[in-house]
Amino acid sequence: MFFTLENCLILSVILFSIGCYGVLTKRNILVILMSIELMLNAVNLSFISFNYFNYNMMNGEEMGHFFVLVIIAIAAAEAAVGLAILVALFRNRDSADIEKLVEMKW
Amino acid sequence: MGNTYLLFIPILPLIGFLINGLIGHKLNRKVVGTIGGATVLGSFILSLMTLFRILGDGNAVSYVAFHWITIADLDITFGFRIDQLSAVMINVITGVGFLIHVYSNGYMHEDKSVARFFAYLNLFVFSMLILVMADNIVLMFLGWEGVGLCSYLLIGFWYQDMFTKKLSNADAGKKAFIVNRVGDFGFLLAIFLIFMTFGTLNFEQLSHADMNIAGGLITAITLLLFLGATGKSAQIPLYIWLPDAMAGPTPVSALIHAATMVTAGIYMIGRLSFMFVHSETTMLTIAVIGTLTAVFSATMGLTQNDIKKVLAYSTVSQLGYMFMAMGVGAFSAGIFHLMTHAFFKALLFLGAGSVILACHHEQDMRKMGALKDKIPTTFWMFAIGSLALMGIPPFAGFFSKDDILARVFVEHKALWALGLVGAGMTAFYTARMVAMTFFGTSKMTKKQELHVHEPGISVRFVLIALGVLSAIGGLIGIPAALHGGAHFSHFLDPVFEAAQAHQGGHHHLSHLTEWILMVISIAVVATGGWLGFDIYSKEKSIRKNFVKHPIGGKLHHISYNKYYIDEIYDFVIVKSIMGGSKALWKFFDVTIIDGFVNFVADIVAFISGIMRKIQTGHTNSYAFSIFIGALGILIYIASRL
Amino acid sequence: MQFQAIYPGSLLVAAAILVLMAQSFVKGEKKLTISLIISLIGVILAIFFTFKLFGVNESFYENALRVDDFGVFLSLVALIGTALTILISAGYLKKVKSYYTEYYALILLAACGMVFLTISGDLITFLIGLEIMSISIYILAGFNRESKKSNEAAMKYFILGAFSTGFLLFGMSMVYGATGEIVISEIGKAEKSAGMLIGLGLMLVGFLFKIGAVPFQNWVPDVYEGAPTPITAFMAAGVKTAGFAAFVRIILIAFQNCGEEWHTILQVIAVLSMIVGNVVAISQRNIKRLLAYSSIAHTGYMLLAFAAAKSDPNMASSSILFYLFTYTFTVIGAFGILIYSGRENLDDFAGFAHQKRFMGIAMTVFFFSLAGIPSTAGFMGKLFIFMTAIDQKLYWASVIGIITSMISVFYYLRVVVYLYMKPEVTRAAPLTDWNVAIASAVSVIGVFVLGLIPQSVIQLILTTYQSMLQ
Repeated sequence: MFFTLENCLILSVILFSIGCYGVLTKRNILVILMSIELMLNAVNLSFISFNYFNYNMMNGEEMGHFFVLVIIAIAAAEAAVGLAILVALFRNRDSADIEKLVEMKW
Repeated sequence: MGNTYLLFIPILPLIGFLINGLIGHKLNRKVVGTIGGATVLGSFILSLMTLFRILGDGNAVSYVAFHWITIADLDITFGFRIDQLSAVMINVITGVGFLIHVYSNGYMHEDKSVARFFAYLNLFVFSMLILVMADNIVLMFLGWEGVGLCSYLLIGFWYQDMFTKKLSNADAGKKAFIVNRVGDFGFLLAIFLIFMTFGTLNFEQLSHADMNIAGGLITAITLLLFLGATGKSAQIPLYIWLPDAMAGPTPVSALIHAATMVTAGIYMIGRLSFMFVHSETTMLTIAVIGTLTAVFSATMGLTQNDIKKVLAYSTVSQLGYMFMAMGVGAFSAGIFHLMTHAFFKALLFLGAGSVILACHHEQDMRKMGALKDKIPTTFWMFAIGSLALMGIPPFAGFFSKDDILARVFVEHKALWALGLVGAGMTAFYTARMVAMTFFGTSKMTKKQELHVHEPGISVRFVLIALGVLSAIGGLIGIPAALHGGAHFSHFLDPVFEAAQAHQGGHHHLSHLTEWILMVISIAVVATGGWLGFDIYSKEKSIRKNFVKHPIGGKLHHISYNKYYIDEIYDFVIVKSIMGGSKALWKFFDVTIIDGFVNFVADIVAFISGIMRKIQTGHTNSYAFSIFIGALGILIYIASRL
Repeated sequence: MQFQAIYPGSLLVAAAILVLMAQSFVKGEKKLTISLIISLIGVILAIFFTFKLFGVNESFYENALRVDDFGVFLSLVALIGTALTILISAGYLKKVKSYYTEYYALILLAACGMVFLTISGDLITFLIGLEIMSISIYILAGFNRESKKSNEAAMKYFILGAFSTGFLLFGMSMVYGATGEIVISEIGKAEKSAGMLIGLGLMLVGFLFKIGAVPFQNWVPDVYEGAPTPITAFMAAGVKTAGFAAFVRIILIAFQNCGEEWHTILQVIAVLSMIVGNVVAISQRNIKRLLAYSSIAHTGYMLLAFAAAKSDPNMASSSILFYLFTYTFTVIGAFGILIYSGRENLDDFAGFAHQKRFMGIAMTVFFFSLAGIPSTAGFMGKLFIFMTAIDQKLYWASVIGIITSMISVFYYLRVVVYLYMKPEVTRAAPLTDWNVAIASAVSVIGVFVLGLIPQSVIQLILTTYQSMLQ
């Protein structure tokens, strides 16, 4: 059987790692924002599979699903704010390269 | 009878500080000085009242203003407890403090920021009073930090000079700062350990606590406390800040760096004597460090040419004697010396201050000389102070120092011998200082000579008052061997009862032994003093003129042998001992200790410079650091699964 | 009753909406004044209604809210921080001539997030509170749109914040998977399991990021330096308070069975934070940056007490609460003076105390408090922390803590030395601003009250841990 909790969790970890890798290595801020979205979606997958496999949704144990909805909303809000900050940044610098954000250091 | 008035002893100087600090710059300088002095005088009167009360019934007086922190069984009060020991301390602090305030009125009359000066001084007196009046160790620490801070502020008082002088005051402040941090570290850690071990921080409760605890805990606590004391009281290896602290105004040196603050460490050991006696290791350490400091800094004093530096090293050395006394369990002797030292060292500093003023801000003794007749009052008072410092009977220093040496003799013969050598050297450098300053020929420029004058009336009054105290202050502690009552030591007995009970009473010397010791020490002191005076009052130039003179030549020929002795002096003492002292000073003081302090400061700054590079500015690397942190935590957790 | 629990939060949101609406009716400088008044009234009302929640100790809305003395106290601290921030912001906005009153609305919303964060009873409330707060702060950090530094600060904070939130959420999902619960007190009843431990590890990352502990501290200096100064103060006081509130509650209640693990981790991180914060601060010349490193160090002190919570949770949480209270006054006061003087660099502060006597005194008080000089609040706070830690036998961590705090006195006192003992740089004296002056005066009073007569606050705090358990 392919559709098991373990496999879903493994997929979730893989997605999370890909997102993590993107944040650590990518220079373009847009890509970084996308990577963060990926991490959040990995979390969603994990929540929903835990709920689906481990707990009885018919019995009122559906908190995992609520959590996913909240996370989706939060991800949307974060993306909006992130893009807004990016726009302000881009106006000042004409670049979306994170390597150039090094005015403050040490 | 209400004890509320105790609260006013520290509060009065605090009021002075607030007035002078906040609106002082708008007031007339006379008003400022009056406020500064009057508040301390008020405290002094209250302190005297307290002292007489305690003399009357022998009971400690206490007053709790409010409960500071109460958590479960821990109760830290904002409370005062005046027993015999703190009664002596508050009277010394406010008494000498008042005199120094009066002196400062005359001394600082040219200074622009006199309000700031008096504000700091009053704040200092306040903190010092809190330190000695506190009934618990946390409140004591408040005073402890406060005096350190004021000292720091006052060393750097003439901050305008900082950037022009070679050895900048800022540097001096820095050194004082680092050293005091080390001391504070010990003190703080000791406080926490005491709390952990005994569950209380109140002195009264601690004195009833069971000190027989297992392990080296009591040794650790007392050693840490002693580390705190060495920082504040300038003992090896943390003494280096005190000579540098002389960059501050002279009244400050007299009040803070001679009479009061530097004795805080002694006071603390006295206060917690019941704890210290339970660790033989600590007691021995204290005695040895004290002795080493006493001798070592006396050798430093031999070659200094700056009059204030001589006094500074002498202070370090005398503090060493006090620690020596504490270390052998002669607590009341140590406190006795603390008191007499406060009198005569304050006198010497203030005397030096008027010499410096008279010579137009010249501190180098090589550029003074023959001031004896030009400023007679200063000279006579300075001479009294010097005799007291040397330990010539019947001046104050004799009785206290002799008391210490006699007690050390009982416990450790070797330390006694070293202490005796130190006493000889003390006499030598003191006599040298007097000789160079007041005798011989004048080495001042004509312009300076015209300027030389006696200080104002208020300054002279203070000098005379301290002179009287230095002359007769020791009489309250005349030992039984001299048919005295040793009143001072009996007065303090109740405080050190517990400690002495643990030590099982000390062996009493027979009166004969005491007499012999006394004679030995007087002989050593007299020799040292005579040598110092003889060499430095007759300078080479006099001798040369003497030889050329026709009659003098014959006389000289007759006294050839005498001259020969002079040469021996010159070779043995000046060349070897003095040269050795200078080399030692250069090597140990400048290279090792100074170098070490600077090294510590530099290394921290260096590490800081490297560590800040972690902060690359690159967001990816920050994310990477978070990732590594997460990985670290997960690896640890995986190891626990 | 359950409505009363959300009064403070709702009031803050209402005030925020009012501020936004007010823009359409008034223009220019008046707009600033009106918004300031509305926000202050909103916060003060919120403080009032929060105060009334003392002693309630109940859960509301199906355990979504947990109103107990612990949360209420920290709500109060965060709201006092907010009020002071609003006051110093008024001076700041006037100085930079910014008329965007959304600024106040965002502060109020962030405060609302903090309030919910402190009284969250389950992970969803916690998450929502956290995000309301964080998103508002991201925007506020970049509020100076023209300033490159401000942009950079906002971007860095946003990316790293979202990144760490990812870890936090992943941890939550693990905890959920292991226990099937999202209510904090219910999670605490579950057995220790692998899922719980992994969840703990991942959630720690998110918490430690928010409070700025090593090695999750890198954003702190940059964001503190780049953000508008009042927002920096807000982050140092409010965000840290709210972050600690949720952190302490979740660790002590939800992870009470994993004490062995977080005890060790927190101890290590506390030591690292104290060392890095205090040592690197020495080489800083920009005071905002210096205070950023000092804030890392202060986090370290609190974590030290936290590590002691395994064996004595009552004293540990009490000392953290007290420390946060003292730190709020101290740090907002210090940043307030930076705003007042319009300077950031150490060298520019030479002789400042002679120019502005009372402001100089206030700044001295704040830096003494940060350094932990006795009679100030900072000393009291440190005293509790180290007493707790040594009492619980965390000897080595405590010794390192005391040594580094001795080192820290050096750079704090250096600022005071510059204030008083350096020749004045000829600079125009700062303009008098009464809002900042009031905030400083309140902070000075707070510092001394907590340093000299802290008894009533301590009595209040000592029962808070019990209130969490009820």
